[in-house]
Amino acid sequence: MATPPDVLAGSATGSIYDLGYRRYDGPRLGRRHAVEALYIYSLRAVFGLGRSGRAKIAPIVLGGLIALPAVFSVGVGALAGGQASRMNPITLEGYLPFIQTLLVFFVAAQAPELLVRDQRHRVLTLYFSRALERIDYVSAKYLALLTAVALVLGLPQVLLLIGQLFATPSLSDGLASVVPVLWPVVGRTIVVSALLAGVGLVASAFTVRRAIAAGTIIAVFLVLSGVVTVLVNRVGLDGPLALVALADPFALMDAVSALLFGVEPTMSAILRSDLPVWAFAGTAVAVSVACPLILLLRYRRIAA
Amino acid sequence: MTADVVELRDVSRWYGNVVAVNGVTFSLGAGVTGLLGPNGAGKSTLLHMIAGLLHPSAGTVTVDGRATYGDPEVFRRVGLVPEREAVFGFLTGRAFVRLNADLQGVAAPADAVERALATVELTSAADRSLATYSKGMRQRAKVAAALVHGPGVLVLDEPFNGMDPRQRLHMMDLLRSLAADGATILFSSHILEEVERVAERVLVVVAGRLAASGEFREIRRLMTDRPHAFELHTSDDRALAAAIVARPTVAGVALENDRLVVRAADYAAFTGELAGIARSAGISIYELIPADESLESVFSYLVRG
Amino acid sequence: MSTSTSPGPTPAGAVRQPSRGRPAALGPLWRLMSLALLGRRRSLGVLLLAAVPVLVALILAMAGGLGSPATIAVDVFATLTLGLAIPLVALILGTGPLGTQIDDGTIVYLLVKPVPRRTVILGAMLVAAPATAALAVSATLLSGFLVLGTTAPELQAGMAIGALLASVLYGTVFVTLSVLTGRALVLGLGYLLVWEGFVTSLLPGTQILSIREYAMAVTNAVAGIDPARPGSGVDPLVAVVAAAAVLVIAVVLGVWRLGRFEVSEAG
Repeated sequence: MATPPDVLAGSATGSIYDLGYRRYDGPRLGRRHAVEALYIYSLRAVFGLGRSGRAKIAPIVLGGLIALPAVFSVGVGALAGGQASRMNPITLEGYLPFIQTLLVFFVAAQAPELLVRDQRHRVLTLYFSRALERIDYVSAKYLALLTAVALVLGLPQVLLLIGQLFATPSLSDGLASVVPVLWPVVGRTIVVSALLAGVGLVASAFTVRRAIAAGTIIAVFLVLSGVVTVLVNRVGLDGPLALVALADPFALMDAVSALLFGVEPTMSAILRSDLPVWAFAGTAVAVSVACPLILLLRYRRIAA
Repeated sequence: MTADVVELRDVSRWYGNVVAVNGVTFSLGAGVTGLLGPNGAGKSTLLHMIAGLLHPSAGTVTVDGRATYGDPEVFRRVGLVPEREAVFGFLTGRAFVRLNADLQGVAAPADAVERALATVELTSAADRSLATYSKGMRQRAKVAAALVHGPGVLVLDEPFNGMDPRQRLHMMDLLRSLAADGATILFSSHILEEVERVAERVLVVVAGRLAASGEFREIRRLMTDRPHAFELHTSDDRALAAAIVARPTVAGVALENDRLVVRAADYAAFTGELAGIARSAGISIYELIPADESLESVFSYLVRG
Repeated sequence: MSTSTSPGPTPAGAVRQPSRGRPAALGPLWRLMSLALLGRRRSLGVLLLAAVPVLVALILAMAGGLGSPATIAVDVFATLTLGLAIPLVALILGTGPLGTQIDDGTIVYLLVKPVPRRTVILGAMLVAAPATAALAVSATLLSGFLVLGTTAPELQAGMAIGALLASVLYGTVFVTLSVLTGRALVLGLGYLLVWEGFVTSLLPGTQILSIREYAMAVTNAVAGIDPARPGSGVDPLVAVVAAAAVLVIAVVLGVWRLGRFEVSEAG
């Protein structure tokens, strides 16, 4: 017979045994580390890391598709030389219209993963019983999705930049063509990512079913874009009516590109309404700022 | 004399490679029977087969002589109280029971609904929507819905889950009174005490197999009183056999294949005595192996659970 | 099997009748599923979607549009009503009655009844399709009226009929989809966006399998319009036949699948 375990506390009729479990009495890392941990966890979750293989399919496939035109373009430029690249419609400035729908799909697929499951399984209580405040939770999730979208959007742009770098005969010429575009690339990536992440998370914060959140995100983009397109094509939007054109999310993104890169906008909503490009870009920034605020409000009031 | 109402003969059910129910045979008549077993033992599968929702992969499940699957008439004879909590939250209690009555084709549905509500004592809350009900009230509403068409067989899947003691007592009284009126009631549980208090008969299911059936007290007695068999390998089997056969704790000894097989009537006392007997006889015991370990472990698991 | 001798609590004086057949059970089923659809968020979303083409038509009518009223009306109809509002409304209403009940397990209560399963799914379809059609046709007629007034009756009739056809088809197909899979919403969206939005415009041969094309073909035929791009679109006769085939297949598939449906247990 094994020796009976050591007694931690006991009397004649009952004892508690010392099984060697230890309390943790060491330093606790505190709030900042909790936020960082949640941020990294959420960022990994967007790409399905740390989960089953099935969770990785959507983000990897969509991310790949988003980068595909850039790969194409660089390949064409490398193989076919100067003339082909001049005819190549896939440019750095004009990259968004090719992939903006795919970006919406990406956000629609992954934004619900961040927020909906926590609500559905009611684990918010667990989060908020730690050093994490509600504002921390929202910030971490928002920044994580923003980073993820920025990565997905940034990859093809980096590829195009590299292509551009080596397209010219000398490296210094290449650098000269690339360096001026660096800030516009960064700026556009941040604003567009903020816009998409914001809308995606706001749509995900109010439901417990992922499919509904995903559907809402897609529906919002499609409906707004479709409505504005029809209106703009059919009606002379002047005066206060022109403000309707600001509802087209794709036009907002296009305006940011146009403003930062100094090119002409391509979306009909901008071209056909009388509003200046900066109005669209300003709306984009305003929406990007408003969304996290809405999220904060929502999570301040949510029951946990 | 009532013929057995519900009869299962060698029923099996599998999903691909997973066997949920394995060769189960039993029959039920009027009264309350408890289906006892750990989680994943196949209780829900059995209940759903009796209720006509699933077809057995092998064997027959009959209610009043009719196979349960594929025969819509069976649904008139059986009432099912499912385990899942969700109900149509947007309906009132009365509307929910009325819906079930209408779908069953009950004549004079309004009266049947009121009777069912009265049986479960939900009449006062019947006009509130189900979403506002407490868990115990929702269970009662489900029972009312299952009773409204006056079935002869009532099948309940884990009806006491999450109920507080008062609600549990109420439900147990309800089941007992229904059984006294002649209904055949089968309910499942993984908690021994619940089954003990309300069921006259018990069916014990472990890993898809029927492990025991009959009166609860008798099964309990059998678990502790049944003779246990041991195999011993000692320095002098025959001498030890002669020494222990005189003891009242031993039900029988046998010498086979140069092993000593002992059947102990009271195994706890026997194992306590054995070492002393062997030492006074000067015999060394090399091996002591319980011969029917698997069944023993099954029952002891159930008793602990 | 005499019912009077079987044991069990029988409501005093109740005589058990033989199965009353479909009509009696269909009523309560229909009422239940209609109630199930009337959730606050669902109703709001569906009304908003149906209002979109109407609002746009209103703006176009007030601000004076570019192009003839007929082209405006067709544009609004094709892009917003048929292209967005009707399929999305049908998706929401189609996955509502049965889909949510399968998801949370309350479908058990409908399946343990002496009601043929085909009645259950027909009840769902008879709720989803007419509700979608009611919204779709009203939105179409309203937006048509706003843009066209009382002129061009063939066009307005054409659009209304196209809307009706599309609603019935989408509604039925999505009900069946919700019985076939738990991911009906996502797959339905995928079908709408990828197949009908993308593939059919890339590969004209696939237009024979698109509900939107059927509806457009019928609208064009009734209104006497030639298709916008010659050679695209489906021949109206083919469209009607194909639409009928899709409807029949959806109903049969749904009945068959629900007949085999087994409630998953919690174990």
